[in-house]
Amino acid sequence: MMVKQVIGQAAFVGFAEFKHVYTPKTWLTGWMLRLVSQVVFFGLVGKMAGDRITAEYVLLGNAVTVIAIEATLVITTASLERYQGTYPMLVVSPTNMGLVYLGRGLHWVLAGLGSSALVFALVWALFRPDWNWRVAVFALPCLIVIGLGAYVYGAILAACSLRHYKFRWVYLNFGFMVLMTFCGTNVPRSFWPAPIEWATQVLPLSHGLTAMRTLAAAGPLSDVLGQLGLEVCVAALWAALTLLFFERIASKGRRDGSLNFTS
Amino acid sequence: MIEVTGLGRVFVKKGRQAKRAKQSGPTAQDSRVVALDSVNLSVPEGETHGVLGPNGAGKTTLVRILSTMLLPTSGRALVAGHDVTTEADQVRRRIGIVFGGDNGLYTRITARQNLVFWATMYRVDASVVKRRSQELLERVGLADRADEPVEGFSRGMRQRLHLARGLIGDPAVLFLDEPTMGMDPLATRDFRDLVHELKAEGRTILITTHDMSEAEALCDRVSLVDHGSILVTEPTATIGRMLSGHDRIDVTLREDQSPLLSELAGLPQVERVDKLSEPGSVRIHTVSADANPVVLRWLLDAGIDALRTGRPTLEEVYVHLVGNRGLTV
Amino acid sequence: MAAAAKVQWNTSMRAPEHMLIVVTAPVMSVIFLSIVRYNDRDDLVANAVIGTGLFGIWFVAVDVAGGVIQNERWMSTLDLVLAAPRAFALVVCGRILPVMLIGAFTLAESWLVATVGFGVQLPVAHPGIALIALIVTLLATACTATMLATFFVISRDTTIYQNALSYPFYILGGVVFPLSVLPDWIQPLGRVIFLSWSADLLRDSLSGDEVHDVVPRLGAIAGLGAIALLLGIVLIRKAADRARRTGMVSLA
Repeated sequence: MMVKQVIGQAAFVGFAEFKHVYTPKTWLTGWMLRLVSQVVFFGLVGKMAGDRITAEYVLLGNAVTVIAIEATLVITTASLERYQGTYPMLVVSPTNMGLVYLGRGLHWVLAGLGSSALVFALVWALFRPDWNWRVAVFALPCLIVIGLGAYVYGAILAACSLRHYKFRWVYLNFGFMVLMTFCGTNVPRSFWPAPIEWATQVLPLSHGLTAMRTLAAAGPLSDVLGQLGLEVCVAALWAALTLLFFERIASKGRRDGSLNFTS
Repeated sequence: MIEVTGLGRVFVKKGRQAKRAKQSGPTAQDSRVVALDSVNLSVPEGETHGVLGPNGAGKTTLVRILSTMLLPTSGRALVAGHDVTTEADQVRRRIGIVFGGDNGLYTRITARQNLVFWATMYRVDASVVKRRSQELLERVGLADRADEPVEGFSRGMRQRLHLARGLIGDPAVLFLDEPTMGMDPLATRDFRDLVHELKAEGRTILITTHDMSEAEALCDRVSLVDHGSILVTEPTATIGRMLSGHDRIDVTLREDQSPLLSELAGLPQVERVDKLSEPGSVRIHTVSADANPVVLRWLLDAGIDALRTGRPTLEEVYVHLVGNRGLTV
Repeated sequence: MAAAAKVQWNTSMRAPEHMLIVVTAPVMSVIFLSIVRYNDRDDLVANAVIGTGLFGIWFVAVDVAGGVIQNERWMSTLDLVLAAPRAFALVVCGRILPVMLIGAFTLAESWLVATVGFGVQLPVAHPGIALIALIVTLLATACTATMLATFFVISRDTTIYQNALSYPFYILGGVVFPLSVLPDWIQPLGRVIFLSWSADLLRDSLSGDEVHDVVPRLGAIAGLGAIALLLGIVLIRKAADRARRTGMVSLA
């Protein structure tokens, strides 16, 4: 009961703050322009290296990865938390900060959903790829699951960035680039050496993206559901880690005195 | 309500910081900084206790430990009957924290939204959250501006919101760390009135400050802190006895009266005479309380009528023990 | 200008955010190389390596150009800057040049990823041309970054443009793929961006074939850089004039 309220309240604050992040104009001319050209860029790299099929493969991967990238932006929310001095206040409140962070940056998932869907539609309109219509119909639930998975993964990185504040940009960029590189965005996961391929099993995006690719290739829906189920399990795993990890970060901060009200 | 025994905190500085600390002087040894050194303190329920000292004395370290933001490296601290190290969660449910300064609020949301958020964090029952937020907003005088984003608030308004935030969990113990820092005099007065009300409700309040008038206005007892240790803990009303058990006499001499000064210093009832900052003003320290009437009569007989008697103030005790560092009056 | 260079070098070395690209560039080159390798196109390794390097150089330029302006100390001296626009351009240019070395470093990183991580041999067939092309590219980037910095001063909203200056330029600059991959009508636009000339020349200098028209192509890179610098100076001078006319001295 309390859990729902904490996550709900935390999410509410996030959404209220989100209004200050972009105006419609800055979102469109800055962020969207960047995302669309990023996806097109990698699509063109695919076109250079392979054929039309390769290009479409890379385009689909990158359009889906957009939501994963945007969900990890929860790290910037943690930076703001620290900048505003609310971070130590959260630590010394009688609520697990990990729980707070399961809700605190959910606005990024919603924003990512919008970006990803829009990029998806634009790419489809521009390049007329040979994707099955089912992708369009079932994209929303798939993207939501992927977004949530990447979000809780990002929440752990946010906890790390609270501790190593100086390296917050490294955590953010490295965090989403790992997903972008190894989880099947540009090349199948099987391309990588076995240990890396195995590790991608427990990373967000991997299974959800496979589900999207199955949809695009008009594969059986039962496969799609199985892959989405795995993605949900991965998300649950990272959510559990988030709950554990924030407590540990907070107690480390208590020990070494890095919790402070001024950043 | 607060029991502190042998509490200590040592910070270990790393890398470049340590190098700098070593260069800064012989006191900084081995890159270890003792912020708090075996502090003992007992604050009974309902008391408003002031912790006074210059910046870097250890006041904030003490509050950070008591509010579970920092672990001690030695000793023990109980707040509301629970150990801050082993039962942090129990402590957290029973305390409220108010820190001075602009930080610690979500500035992009409204005052009411801030309170509702923190109420949830403090596990206030959902059915009471709304009512309690409204009550607190009224209490701190923010009801009219409750639905405006905090970023437009003045320093004083933010500080009152901080106080409301600290009270949201209905705490038994309240920590106020430099609460009126940077506030204008009017806002400060309002804020102090609020603290008086809280005191009347029987809450235990620990307040750190380097403002003497604040400590005198609010605190039942004060502790003077310097270099990580408590120098003295005394009731605010009688702390002057530390320096002298009896009144001193301040007099202002006219220019033609100045020859009397040496005569005055020579009286057997006078211990010593100190010059005050105002020209012609001196402070007479007598040898005992009985000596005062004698000296007073002598002064009147000599035609000196610009005189005043009084006990040593908190400020004088502070200056005597700590020096002039970090003093605001 | 040398003093400005020193200040910037010290700042960059101390602030990890300036060094971000050093961490992300190798990952980027892993992505490019994986696409190339997966499709059995090891002949395109040079594209991946040089692409990452130019990526890094351009990223650092945009980042520093924006950072110079966001730096509060600069904000307070903007009035002085407006009083002497040409000096401003030179100072910015001086601050950006040393940081270009960080960008160039990503080229080395990328080469390392290719040879160690992916086990490809990448001989440089024309080292002299490659080196000159790289140096001219770095200079042109510093000049262009100066223009961007003045542009940021005038517009004040740096983050939008920093986003817009990333991938659109990687596409139009043909840093990884040649411009011929793009639709015909868009290719002339790419030729206005010096990056496209740099990328082509650097790629050619790595291949065994003879490199044609080296001097004119170097001239194109240098010329586009010089135009950018001039444009920057003109822009800031106009802004200064306008500020004086309207009496709004402080832009901050």
